[in-house]
Formats: sequence, structure tokens, C-alpha cells
Amino acid sequence: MNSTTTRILVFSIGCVGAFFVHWTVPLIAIAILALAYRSWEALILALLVDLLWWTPVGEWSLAMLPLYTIGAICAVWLFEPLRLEFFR
Amino acid sequence: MHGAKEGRRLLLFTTLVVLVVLGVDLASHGAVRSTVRSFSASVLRAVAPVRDSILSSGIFAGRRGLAAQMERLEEERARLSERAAAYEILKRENATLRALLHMSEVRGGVGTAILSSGTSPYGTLLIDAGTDDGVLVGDIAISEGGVAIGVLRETYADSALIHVYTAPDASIDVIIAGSPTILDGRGGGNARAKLPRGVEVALGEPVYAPSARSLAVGIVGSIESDPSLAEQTLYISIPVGFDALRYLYVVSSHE
Repeated sequence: MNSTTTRILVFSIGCVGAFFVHWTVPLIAIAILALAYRSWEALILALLVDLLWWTPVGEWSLAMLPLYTIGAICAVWLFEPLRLEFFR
Repeated sequence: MHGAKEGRRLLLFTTLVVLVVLGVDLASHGAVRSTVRSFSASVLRAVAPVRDSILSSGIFAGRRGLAAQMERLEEERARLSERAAAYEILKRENATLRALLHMSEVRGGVGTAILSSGTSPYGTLLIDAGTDDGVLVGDIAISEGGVAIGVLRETYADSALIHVYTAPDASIDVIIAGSPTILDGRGGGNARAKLPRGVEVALGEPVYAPSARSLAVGIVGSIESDPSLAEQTLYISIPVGFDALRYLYVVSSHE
């Protein structure tokens, strides 16, 4: 299985998980994508989860931030040296 | 090298697009979220009967069948547990009239199905009722057993998003054993509250929220009391798991 197929598969599993299964499924998918590839799909998946479930209404708390998107942005950029070291 | 540069450029572009989408959503007070959730509600609504019929058709008999049976039994156990807790709550009501009024209030709400599978990481649930059904932001979601689950945070034409009282960032004023305190959500249907050590609290004591029409929001599951501390810590849970919940009532927050 080449990397493109794997990326599409993991991204699809993450999307299905976000809609129908549990929030941990896209979380795992984002972690795999961000760790193994320079993956823009991880950002799209995180945005999807936030647009589905995030609610920035009410009193201030940490959950008022789009944590998935922020986490995914940090992951894809911070994992860059790790990826270059171990996966390339 | 050229491919790596291209990949980095694409990643940077996607990062900017994602930030712009979030910015547009915030600036438009949730227009993008509204669209995505309406689409999500339609998909979940359409898929629900198919999913249920596939699971009950026996196609995945054997291990899957046993798993489904276990899940049904677990749901039944949770339902019975909730009923027992609801009975305890009602028993503690000091007048029959109050209990009858409470039930009529509950039945007067809008009955709705839960579309999402369990709660999200943000402690939210998507329900199949929206402004077209008369539900409003601030309305209260109540389980079949009469336990207040959460408050409606965002409403759309045919769906709404509930923020549960036990979400990790949630806090609500409650009354436990006649003493006011604050309930802090811990996630997963659990919450925590502190009371002076002198207040006598029993296990199974209902926790009432004045802002949720004085309905119960949970029961005391365990108590941690250290003689060297002035306060005792109460661990509170809702008597039914979110995974087992299928339907809710939505009632107005006003009496």
C-alpha cells in the first residue's frame, strides 16, 4: 500500500469516526497522519471535528478554543523534524 | 527536494485556509458550523435506520450478535439504574404535588432523539430538534428518568447542540443535602463538588440545580473526607451513561 492510499484510508476512517463512532477515532487518525506524513489532511480532519462539535458560546474556558484545530496545526508543524528524522 | 518544498507549501496553504475558515465562522457567529451541523444531522438521520437494521438483521451474527446483546443488556441495566435513581429522587421530594408537577413539566417538553454517538470531546450532544420544533438556546435537556443532562447552547432549524453539565469545562450552582455549592464537570458523565465537612451527605443523595428548574442533575457516587481538611469532596455522576441515552426531553428553562 503506497503512502497516498494510506493517507486517504486514514483520513476516511477519521471522517467516518467523527460522524458515526467516537471522537477518539479522528484524534488517532490526526496523530497518525501528522506523525507519519506532511499531511494537510490532518488539518482538514481537525477542522471538521471542531465544526461538528466545538461551541465557543458561554463562559470562558479552555474548551472555548478549537482545540482539535490548534492541536493539529501544532502537531503537523512540530512533528516536522521528527518526521524528517524517522520517516524520510 | 522539490517535492518536499511543494508539500510544505501545500501544508502552509491548508493551515491558512483552516484559520480563515475558523475566522469566518467566528465573525459570522457560527454560519459555517451551522451549515456543517445541518449536513451532519441530515446524514446521521438518514443513516440511523440503515445502521439499526443492519445491526439487527443478524448479518454480523456470532461475535457481533453477542456484542449487540451485551450492549442491549448494558443499556437495560443503565435504564434500570436510572429508574432506581429517579425513584430515589422522587421519594425525597417532600410533597406528592411537587412530584406530579415535576412529571407534567417533563412530559410537557419536546421529545427528541440524540443523533450523535455519545458526547464529543467538548461535552456536546447533537439532537434531532431545532428552532422549527420550538426549542431555544438556554432550554434544558432532560433524560427519560427526569435527570437534567445539559443546556442547549446552539440551535439550528432542525437540530441543536447540547452542552452537558458534566463536560470538563462546565460548572453550575447546585444544592446538595440542602447546602449550596458549585458542581464542576469532569467529563464522562462525572462531576465534583466540595462541601463543608460538617454537612452530612449520604451516598445516592440527589444533586439539584436551581437553574435547571430545580431538577436533579446527578447523584452522589462517592465521598472523600479527610479529617485534616475543612471540606469534603463529593464525586457525582449521572445515573445513566451517555452511550445508553437515545432520547431526551427539552423543556424551557423558565418555570
